[in-house]
Amino acid sequence: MTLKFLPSERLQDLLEELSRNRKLIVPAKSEAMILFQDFGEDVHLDLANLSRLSAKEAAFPQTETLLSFGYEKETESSEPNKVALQCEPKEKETIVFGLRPCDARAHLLLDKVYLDDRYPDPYYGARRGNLTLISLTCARPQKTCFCTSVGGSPSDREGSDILLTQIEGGFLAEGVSEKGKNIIALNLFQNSTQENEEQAEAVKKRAAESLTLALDLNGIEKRLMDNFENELWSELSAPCLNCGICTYVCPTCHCFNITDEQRGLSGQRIRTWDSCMYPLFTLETSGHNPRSLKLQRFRQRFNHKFSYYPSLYGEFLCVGCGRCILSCPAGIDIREVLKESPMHRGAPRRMKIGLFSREHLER
Amino acid sequence: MKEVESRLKEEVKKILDEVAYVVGYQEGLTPLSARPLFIRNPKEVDRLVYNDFCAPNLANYVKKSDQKIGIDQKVGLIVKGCDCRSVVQLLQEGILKRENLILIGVPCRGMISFKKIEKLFDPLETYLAEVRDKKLKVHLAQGEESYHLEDVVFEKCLWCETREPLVVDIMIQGPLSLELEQKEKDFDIVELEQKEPAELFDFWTAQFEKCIRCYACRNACPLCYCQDNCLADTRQPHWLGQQTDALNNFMYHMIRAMHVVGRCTGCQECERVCPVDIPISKIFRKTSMITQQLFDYIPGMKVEDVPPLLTFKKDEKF
Repeated sequence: MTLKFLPSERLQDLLEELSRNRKLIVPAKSEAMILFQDFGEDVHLDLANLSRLSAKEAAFPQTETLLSFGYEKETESSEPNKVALQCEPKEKETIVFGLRPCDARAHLLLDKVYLDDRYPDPYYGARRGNLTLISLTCARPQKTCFCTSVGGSPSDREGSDILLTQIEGGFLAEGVSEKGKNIIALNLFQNSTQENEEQAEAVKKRAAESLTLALDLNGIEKRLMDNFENELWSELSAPCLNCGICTYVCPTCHCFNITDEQRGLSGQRIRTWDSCMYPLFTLETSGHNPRSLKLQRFRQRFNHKFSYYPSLYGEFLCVGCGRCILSCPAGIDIREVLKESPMHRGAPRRMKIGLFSREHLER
Repeated sequence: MKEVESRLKEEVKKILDEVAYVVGYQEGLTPLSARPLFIRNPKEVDRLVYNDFCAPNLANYVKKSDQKIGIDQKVGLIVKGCDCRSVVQLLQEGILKRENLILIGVPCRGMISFKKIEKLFDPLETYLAEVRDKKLKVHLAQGEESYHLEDVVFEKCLWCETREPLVVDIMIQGPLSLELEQKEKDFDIVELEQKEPAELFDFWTAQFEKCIRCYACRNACPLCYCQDNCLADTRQPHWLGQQTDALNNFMYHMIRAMHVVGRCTGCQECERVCPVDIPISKIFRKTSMITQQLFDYIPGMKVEDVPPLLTFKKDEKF
């Protein structure tokens, strides 16, 4: 591990340096929310608050062209008899700066699906190979955060190329990957002192200690399967609007749709985000839909994250960022679905229905 | 409001035997939020709350359900004045059956908007919240703070004309007003109308560029009930592309505007649920102003009314 120190007053220089000939994406304030935006002059960097959407678009954009096509006709009146295809994945080097460690780690979970040895996805692969992730220790986890329950931590290095930790007068920079080490070798970085390192350790410790919630997810994979038909799903899904918010703000949801968007004789085959909440998600050509009910679609999301994906890849498909909890218009809380958890200081205000916790099922 | 809540609980208990369930509110993520609660048995009544944070329009849940409640199953529904207009509109359109609904009206003195609060302080760091002496008082980590209600209630509440539900079976009496300074109805629309068309187009393009097509606005709308058959999703006919770009997003919102025009009751759920803060209700309020002028009709006021776009009169002028 290489350690360096970046003084606060060199941050702007670093961002300008990183944006040269590359695409640089930073969390920035836009009206009342934080969104990842292209770095530029009128961008208001905000490293303190959680962004409304995750950083997954850098590797997995909501809309991408897989190929372009054009039909050709011999004469004006003849039927098109030839089709020309064009497919050039062009990817610019991209850096995401200031994302949270949970968001960085999410990329490793997406990699398992898209960079699988058997079916590597060339489009995702091209972008991912050109992507550098510079994350920032999450100094003040929110009440909706639960990264430590799903295998992460506020200062997790997994998935990051560099991990920054904000300390007095600047940032301690840890070069995690080769790519990251090359960046912190820039002159803008200074050698770190023992004091810098101790301060960073203290920030990390405080952040980890502030996360008091610990979901017991031991055996959840099997418990979900054992309770596939449990009536609780009907109760839990009742308030769900079946919109796509939870899946679209999620840094790990990765389902997509492919459509041909054609106008006249030419068009594009595009890939767009899809959501298991949508009725068309599993609608078959025959008209049959194995998940025709809201309950089934709702259940799928939790089963995929905490049972199907873990059975294939040995990890949960969730990094505990809490965005789905924050943005759900119906107040559905993923933690509550998995287990009760008191949210408030003093008497617990909510989470009164015991759900898929062992305690509940034993009752 | 505590009194209203306890009387509401009593009334809900009384009707539980008659209905599949009652849709009400329970505590939400923060002391400043409430979320839907489906009550099936007397024990669940304990979780019922009613306070100044009960913003969601529960009318949405009587139509959009796997169980088709309110259509072939009797259901109880807690309605505020504005929510009740959605029910009235759905009754006018023949979507709900009156005999399958038990409507419990609750008094509303204006609801606190979570989106407005987020701009002022962090709701996640709030431990207690209450409306008292025309102020919103909250306990934050740094101590107690209070805010003017005019700054934290939904704009729609500042011009509300239907604080009392128009059609109910049981009414819980309670405070209907906080005597806040009223705003002129749809004043923000009047402001937008001053813009040049090109400027207006730029405004909406910037808004729709943010849209992530999660369809929460559609799904939260009690009147968007082409459930699972929305033309935003259909491939044949191909009305709009799946690309998430300003143009296609624009098209999606315009199609929705055309389908909800003359029916929108102005509950603004679309705007409340939007994860990227698009002021969508402006579109619906503007189109409503047009239909109101053309047809002298306000949606969701009387069950006997016939929505103008659902009928044709021989003497209509073109």
